[in-house]
Amino acid sequence: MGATVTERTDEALVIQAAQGDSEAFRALYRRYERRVRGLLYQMTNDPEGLDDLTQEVFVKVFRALGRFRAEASFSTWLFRIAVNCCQDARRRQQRRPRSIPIEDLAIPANQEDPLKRLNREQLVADALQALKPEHRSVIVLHDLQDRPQEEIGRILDLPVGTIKSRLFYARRQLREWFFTRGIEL
Amino acid sequence: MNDPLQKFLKHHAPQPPVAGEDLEARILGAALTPTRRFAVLSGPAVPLLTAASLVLLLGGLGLWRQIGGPVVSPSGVISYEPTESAVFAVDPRTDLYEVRY
Repeated sequence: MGATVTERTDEALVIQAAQGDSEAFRALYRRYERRVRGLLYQMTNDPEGLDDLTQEVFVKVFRALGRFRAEASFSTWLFRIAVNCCQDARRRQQRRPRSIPIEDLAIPANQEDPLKRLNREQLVADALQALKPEHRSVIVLHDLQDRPQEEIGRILDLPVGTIKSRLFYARRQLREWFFTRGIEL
Repeated sequence: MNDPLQKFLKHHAPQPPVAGEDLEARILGAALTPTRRFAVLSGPAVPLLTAASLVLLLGGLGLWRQIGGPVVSPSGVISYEPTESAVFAVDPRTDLYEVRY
């Protein structure tokens, strides 16, 4: 008996999905939806636009499956498209900037643990947004999404040396950012 | 993972909100819907086809007559009838006839 859809490898699912197999599409989507949404959210910090951006990524990926040549793994290719979609979204955002009231950024003191955690998540989100986009993508992929440096190089189409250097500068900037807010890391 | 910064980032990584209920259906629907595409030509015949299409288009619309160029004075006698002392001249830019007796 053949493997169930969820047991099949990415490569097998890609071949079936490229032939229009909707179950293979669904399996790929369910396998990567959470990670892709995490990446998109950490890169853009835009909860309102997240569903649309997720849709943009997966529809692009599914429509381009026929051109996927397996020179890189499916997940590397998927993450590359996701990062490109984030860059497009940022450009669109720059054309219609939104303002955030300063009181929304303040961190209330003496709160319960769950709220404190939420505040720290918001703090990390704000710290990531303070980085240059090219530094943010490296930090998110490496420190939050656990992608190895070599793979990040393939995702961003950059030499590993550039990834190392961006990681170094991004971390230094993040440490300074947290330090000015009383957090020494 | 010994770096405290990396630990902190990882532990407090911003978590995305839960996806809308219909997102999966929307994505699969959009991905499986065939897209309309214009036929894409390729190969050595493309420049020739492009030029021929342009000539046909401009010729069909009569626009080639309006393309800027040197002003040409009316010329090209197309008919001369000595019995009626009539001369027809045509302006090649406007196609208008000028009749002189």
